[in-house]
Amino acid sequence: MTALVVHAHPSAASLSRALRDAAIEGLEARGHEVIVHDLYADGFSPAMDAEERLAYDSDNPVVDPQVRTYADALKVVDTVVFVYPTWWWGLPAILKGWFDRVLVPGEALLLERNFGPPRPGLSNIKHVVGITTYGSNRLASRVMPDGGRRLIRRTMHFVGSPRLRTTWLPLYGVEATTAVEREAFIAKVRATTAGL
Amino acid sequence: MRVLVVRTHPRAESFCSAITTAVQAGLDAAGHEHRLLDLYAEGFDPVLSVQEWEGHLSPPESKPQIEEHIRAIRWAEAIVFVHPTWWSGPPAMLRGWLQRVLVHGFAFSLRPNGGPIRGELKWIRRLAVVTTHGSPRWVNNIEGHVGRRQLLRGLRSICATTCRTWWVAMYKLDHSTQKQREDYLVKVEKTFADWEHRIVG
Repeated sequence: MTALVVHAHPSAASLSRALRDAAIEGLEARGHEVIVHDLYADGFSPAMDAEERLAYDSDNPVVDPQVRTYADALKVVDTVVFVYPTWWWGLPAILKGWFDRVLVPGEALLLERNFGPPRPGLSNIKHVVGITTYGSNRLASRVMPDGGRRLIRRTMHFVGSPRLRTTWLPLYGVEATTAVEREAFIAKVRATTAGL
Repeated sequence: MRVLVVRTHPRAESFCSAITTAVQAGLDAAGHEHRLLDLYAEGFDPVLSVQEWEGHLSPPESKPQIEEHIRAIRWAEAIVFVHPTWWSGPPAMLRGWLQRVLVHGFAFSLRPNGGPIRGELKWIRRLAVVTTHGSPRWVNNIEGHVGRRQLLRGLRSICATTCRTWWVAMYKLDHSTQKQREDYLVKVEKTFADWEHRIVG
């Protein structure tokens, strides 16, 4: 079994980084081989440029070798784990850019000639896990849009297996959490990924 | 009314440019003053750095790299976003602009008990999103209209309490005809030509 962990946080000292490491430990304990896309560490540029935008509609939408590496990893995994902080009701820009640039037609999506709905191109992906922290407490988060969760779940359902399962691991009100609460959440992440 | 038009598209020759021109023509017809902020053309860096993250509670004055963007928002009374919708939401470039520019002490302040943030953009009384989708409306229903919620509910929640919102969307751009695109440009121009002058909203 092979899993991909996509991580988006600028700081190695962050809780997000600790969650990423816990997720990897859990997956490896389970016997997964783990591939990591650490977007900040890899210097990933999230903004699709003009050349890529033109190529997007062509037969060769991938022009950047780093995007090629990222897209190839998606073809060999059965599980994708996203670890990121929720900022402004959604994904950090660098992670949105991963969706924009890596999930391309002809690979993630298979377009039909008759303009019908696209078919998934990554039905090898059977499980998606979202691990994220929120500034708002649980009640406040209910009222506001959760663009990250919505985008991840619906997009991965679009490109992945028709029987895709999603697991969501949120931590709310992160700035007000105690060290004990954070440690407990880290342990929960490790146990959940070990139990996938 | 002072209107900031924020354009996000990597290509100057795209349909997005024609849409931006239609927005500006409509605003001119209605007698509004407007400024264009073209994120790609300006080379805006959408990635929040580790220094910015570590300093996320320090005062806006300590962030010269976003000073002109803060000034642009302070000047405005309305913001119009023009961009393609990718995976149900705005491109990463625009996500990055929101994340790097709407800083604590300028756009919002925190409450002590971890409750919802207190919005501080109280002078922004209109928000509009003018966006195209490659795919049909039903696909976007499946995808959950992430961008619409983030901008017209989320961002709106930190603007004026009476902030009015506009959503001017085109679907199925990938399979559209010239006539359909022209009709959309006419609709966009008319939307902003109809922006009446009011004291509130």
